[in-house]
Amino acid sequence: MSFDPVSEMEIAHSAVASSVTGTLTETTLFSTTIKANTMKPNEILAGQFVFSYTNSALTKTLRLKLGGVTVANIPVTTTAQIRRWFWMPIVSNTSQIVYPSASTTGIGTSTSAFEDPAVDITTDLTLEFTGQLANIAETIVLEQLYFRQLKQAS
Amino acid sequence: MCPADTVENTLRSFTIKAGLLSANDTLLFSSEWSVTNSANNKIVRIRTGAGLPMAVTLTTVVSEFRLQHLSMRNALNSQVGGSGTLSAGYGTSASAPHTQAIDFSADVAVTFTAQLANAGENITLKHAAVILIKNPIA
Repeated sequence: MSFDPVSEMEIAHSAVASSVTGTLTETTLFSTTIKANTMKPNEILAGQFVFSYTNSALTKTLRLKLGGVTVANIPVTTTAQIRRWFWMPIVSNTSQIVYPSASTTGIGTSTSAFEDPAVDITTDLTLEFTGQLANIAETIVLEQLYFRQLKQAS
Repeated sequence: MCPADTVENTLRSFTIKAGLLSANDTLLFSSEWSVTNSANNKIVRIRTGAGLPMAVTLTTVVSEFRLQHLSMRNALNSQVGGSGTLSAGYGTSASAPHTQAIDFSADVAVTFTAQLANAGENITLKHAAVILIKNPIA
């Protein structure tokens, strides 16, 4: 199989802090739409993101959703920030591979299996970050995110 | 999927054609592996010709996602990257960085391989990609 140069296109980018406090309701911190058929099989949706949050024993739940499907569901407690990878090879229009949702790194080894969010990339997809508190006095801040689409040789 | 034997098997291969790389470019190898969770060794490797930028031994895990960088060291026949034996691929290590001297001015085969210690177990390469990161300055 020959090898072709990759190209990449920015899908989403934000360095504007967005926070939730004072509610236990899951709250959207960032949202954008990936238009139908922007991504194609044999491509990769790649990204990274940074959250900061109250350092406490109570669970703060950070989520990334794609097309309404949760592709990262990260509980954090006694730390202050997280930087996580997101890497989603697209197998077909309705099949993808993502690292175990609860991972705090998004990379490396895991005792959980890879997941298939099975979103339909031929439809408009919402890429959405949310935060959910267990104590209204605490805070979650989405600090930064960067997502790009990698086109590769199949 | 790895065959039911204990030899090293190529599960995916690419050819990097001569002339594609420049002297300060970087290759990024992405690989995602699912393995039997057991005490037996499951070895996953990436080879670039005679170079071995990644060789990770997996045991009591299920999944491995690895991004391995290999940069041209201002020449097409000298490369450097992070240690290829770390399970995470990032962070601190007592191991030295990986270096190799493969001539990318000629065609170079990139192979993703798997080797079992117990033929009754399993290694599956779920996804593999080779990504070229061009140096815009060179």
